[in-house]
Amino acid sequence: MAIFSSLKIRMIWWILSAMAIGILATFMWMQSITAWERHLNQAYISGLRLHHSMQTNTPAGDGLILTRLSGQDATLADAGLFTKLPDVLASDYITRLSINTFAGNDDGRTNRIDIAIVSSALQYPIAKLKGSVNKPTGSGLAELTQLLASYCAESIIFAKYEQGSWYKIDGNAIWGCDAAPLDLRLPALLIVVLGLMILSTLAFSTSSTFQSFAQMLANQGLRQGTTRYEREGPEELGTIIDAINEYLEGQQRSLSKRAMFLSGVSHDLGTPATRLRLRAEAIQNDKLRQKINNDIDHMTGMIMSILTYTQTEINDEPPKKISLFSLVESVVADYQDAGQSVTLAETNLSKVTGRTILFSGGDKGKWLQKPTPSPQIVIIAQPLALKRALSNLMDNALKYGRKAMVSVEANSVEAQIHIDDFGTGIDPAKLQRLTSPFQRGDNIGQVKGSGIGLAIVTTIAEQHGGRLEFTKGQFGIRATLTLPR
Amino acid sequence: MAIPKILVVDDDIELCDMLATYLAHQGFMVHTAQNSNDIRNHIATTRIDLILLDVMLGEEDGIALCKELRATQDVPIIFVSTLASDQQRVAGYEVGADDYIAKPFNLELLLARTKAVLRRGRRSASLNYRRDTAEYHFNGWRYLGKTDEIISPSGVQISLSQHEIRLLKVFLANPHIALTRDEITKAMDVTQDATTHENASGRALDVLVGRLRSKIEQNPKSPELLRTERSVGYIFYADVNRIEE
Repeated sequence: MAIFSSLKIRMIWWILSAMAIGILATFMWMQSITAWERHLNQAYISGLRLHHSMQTNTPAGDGLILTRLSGQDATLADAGLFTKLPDVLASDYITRLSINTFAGNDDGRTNRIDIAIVSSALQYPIAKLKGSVNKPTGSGLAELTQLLASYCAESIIFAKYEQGSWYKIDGNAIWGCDAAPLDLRLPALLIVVLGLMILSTLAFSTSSTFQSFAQMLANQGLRQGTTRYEREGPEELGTIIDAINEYLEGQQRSLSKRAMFLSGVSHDLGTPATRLRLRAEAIQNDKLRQKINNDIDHMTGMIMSILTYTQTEINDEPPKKISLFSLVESVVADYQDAGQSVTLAETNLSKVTGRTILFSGGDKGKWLQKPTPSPQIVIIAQPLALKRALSNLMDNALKYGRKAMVSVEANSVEAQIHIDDFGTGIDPAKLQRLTSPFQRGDNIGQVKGSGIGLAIVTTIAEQHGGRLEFTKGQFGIRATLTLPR
Repeated sequence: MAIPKILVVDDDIELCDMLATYLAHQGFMVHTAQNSNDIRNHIATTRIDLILLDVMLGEEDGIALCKELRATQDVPIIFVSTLASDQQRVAGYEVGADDYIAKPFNLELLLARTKAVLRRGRRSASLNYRRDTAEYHFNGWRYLGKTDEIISPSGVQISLSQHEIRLLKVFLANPHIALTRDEITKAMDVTQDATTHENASGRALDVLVGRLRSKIEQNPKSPELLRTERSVGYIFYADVNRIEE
């Protein structure tokens, strides 16, 4: 959403919506409270009116319908058999009480009102009425009607004033459930809670886009080869990503420029070197020719490895979904086919057979024996670069350690390729130092090399998000190339 | 057999001449060329058996040139270049080069490879020897001739060794035909890269077949694709679909 693209605008939106939610909720709350107060007041007043009308035998006015009971019904009411009355069901709840009030006369005499409240829903808790005795003019009855109004239920009142007649009073228009105003306090609370949840989710998700990008940056780093990051999240994060991308592109450009320059140089060197070689053919002295050829070999070897190194740094091979195990196997096989003593150790992964335990014995089991695929260890990687890295490690092992033994290990997070050599071995710590370009070990002796092989491996490992380590192995030095899965 | 005619193409005239002299000493007829026009002239006027082509011909791009030549010519081409990274080699093979030699080269190596490519060319009458850049489909697998990649039905690239690729190519060219070990070995010898000369024979071939099975078979213990044909040799049991570009 474009309008929410900037953090500034997002925040303003959040504040405004938080305020709106607050105002709405408060309004609903206040509205409910006043409406209820009015409702209860009306019920109270209607109680007073009812009292007056019964006292004076006058009509009660709006909302109150008084009907005098017939003689037969009045007898039933006197006997307390309200359930026998018409319009009353046997299952209805009857709440009985009597109220004493001042009649308003000066003689100090109190009047008594007998009341039965019939409701299909509940028995009214009349104990809540504050002392029904000795209340002035009808306030007791008023409190009762207020109590009726505070519950959401339909009810019919039967009442007899002193020795007067029984009345059936229907005041549901005033204190019935339909007359009660909506109570919006719970919805108001819900709106506040929901609003807070939505707002905090939005805030969290915004902060997590920053978090996840920072995480990605920490994981992948600014290492060579990561060409650019996808623009995402709010404007401000986008600006940061753009800046990083620009930096990475600049890095890539300067790498390409360097590679261009170096490949130009090596091309320019390659041509005279080739001429030199052709000229050397004309030299009659075999020994001298051999020496010159060796020198040219040495020189060209260095040119080659520098070229490979820069090519590696540019990192332009597209990553593919590959089977790491088959890649290691194929490199080892190529060395074996060339007569080199490189062996691939039996991987414990390959021992995983699919045979079910239930049918493990006998030929019957064969039916259920799943095929045993070679352990694939599928990873996303650059196959040519990985082959180059492995070849360099194997070349090293063969050069300095006579034989190489390769083994592959993998778990759910990473895969490791170990290359053990059988040499006298130098200190692994020193070998670690050799991973920078142009460093060579103390044990090089007569072995030729440009000292760039391990730097290439390290670069490739880092480009894959992995690492190269050296440890003291079982036989000599163990080089371990670790790649994330 | 006639003396092989080689066309040496390099923008460095002195180098060109010296290489021509060297090859002439080795018993070849040699012509030289500095640019694409020279090449076209030579091809138009005489029979050429092999071209040694520099990748960087001054302003011209040898890769593009090779692609253009391939469109009309069958003549074997060996790239000779100072650009020798893996990617550049692949680019060379992709446009149909027969071999790729890094410059500065060892002269014996150059000679050996030149001879190997010529030898391969001579057998071309009976066998499809040329680096095949087509794509092959079999049983859900894909083999990309351009880059020698093989991709499993689930889309995972499986790496094969040089020998395994050669063996697979022989089978891809002859599906549903029982091949004797001898035939396979001979065919592999022809398709092989000129760098290695030892051939897989007898026991070694069986080992190689086992290795290939472990990579492309669902269950290498009871192979479905690469079956053993008793008392004959092997048979590749798959419908192979060759897809031209």
